[in-house]
Amino acid sequence: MSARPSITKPELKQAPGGHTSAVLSGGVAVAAIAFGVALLSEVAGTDAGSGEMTDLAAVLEGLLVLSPWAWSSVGVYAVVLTPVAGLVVTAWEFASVGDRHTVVLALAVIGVLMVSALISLLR
Amino acid sequence: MSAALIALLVSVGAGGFGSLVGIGGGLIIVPLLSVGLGYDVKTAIAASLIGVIATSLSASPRYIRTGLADRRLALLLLVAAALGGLAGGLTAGYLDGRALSLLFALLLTGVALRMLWQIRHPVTPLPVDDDATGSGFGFASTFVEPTTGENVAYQARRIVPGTAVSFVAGNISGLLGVGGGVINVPTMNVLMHVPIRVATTTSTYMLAATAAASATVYVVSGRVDPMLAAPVALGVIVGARIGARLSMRLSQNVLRLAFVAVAAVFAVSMFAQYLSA
Repeated sequence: MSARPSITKPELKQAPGGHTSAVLSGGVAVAAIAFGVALLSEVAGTDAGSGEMTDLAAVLEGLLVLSPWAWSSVGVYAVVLTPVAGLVVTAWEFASVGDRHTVVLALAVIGVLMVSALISLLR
Repeated sequence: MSAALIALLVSVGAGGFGSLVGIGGGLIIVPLLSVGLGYDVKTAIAASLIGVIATSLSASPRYIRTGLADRRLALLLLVAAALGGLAGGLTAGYLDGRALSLLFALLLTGVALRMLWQIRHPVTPLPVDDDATGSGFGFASTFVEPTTGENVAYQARRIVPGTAVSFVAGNISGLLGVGGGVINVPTMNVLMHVPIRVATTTSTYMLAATAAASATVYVVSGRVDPMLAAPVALGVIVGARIGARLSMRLSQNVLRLAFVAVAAVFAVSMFAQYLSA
């Protein structure tokens, strides 16, 4: 595919994605650390622990005793919540360069996904 | 070798391959966990969803920083796919899953053949409209092809049909049990004339958002086994980073061939689903 210099106008470029990249990388790092602690703790023979992931008090308690289950749960939360944080930051990034259409799209994605998850849960 | 270690090692490969071709890796992870390691299919799917998000999160920062992932196009298709997913709950009862499996298998076969044909007959870049800008709905952009350093301009075409396909894909993906990547990549590349490099990276970026909605439901309903999700996610995080790096060294034709292989596997799987239903 050959380049066409006459049409590579500066305005064709994407909004800077540094903040979104940082948020996604941060979320992955938190998840990797949590999963890593869980696996090491399991190898070390710590009682795995168990419970409902939605019982946040049990998760917090488990973190203090290095329960693999609790640390894995934190990793799962980090993985699931990071995309939403990434979308929020993406909307903010496009807002900062005045691209309102894309801000609307980003907010619409967040809204529709939240409604979709809510409907699935209520079924 | 323990089940966790096997899951971790295979997930490295799944994350690496998934981030290369813009699919999540569920194609590899779900059969491994359910058939290979004996986990319940729903538990395997839940762990795989966590793996798909982790693949996307791990590879996307590089794709965004290098300007390869087209986030504006991704967001448009995500809105359509998510709305399609919402509507899917309402229309599922009226659709014939068996017929859809056959239709999807035939479509994927066509896509694979079309992509093979593109290797010998590359698509000439379409001219970008003079009034197409980075804002508004022109969907024109540029990227630097990492293997050649060439600055490539492109404009996504057939925005309305592409968006419609994403809506339909979101609508039927739950019914067919296929993820977003196998539909996103050909929609962008074959239908919308987006370069395969951008199609695969953009698809990888999109996967986190779509899988997060499903994963939330699995987490809240208590179907995620965090002890299984841990090795899977850790494996794909490592694998996807390697895949994202490797992707920068592979030509667009190699990426296209890799995706053709994925499309062929999915097509066979859909034919099997059609025949066994």
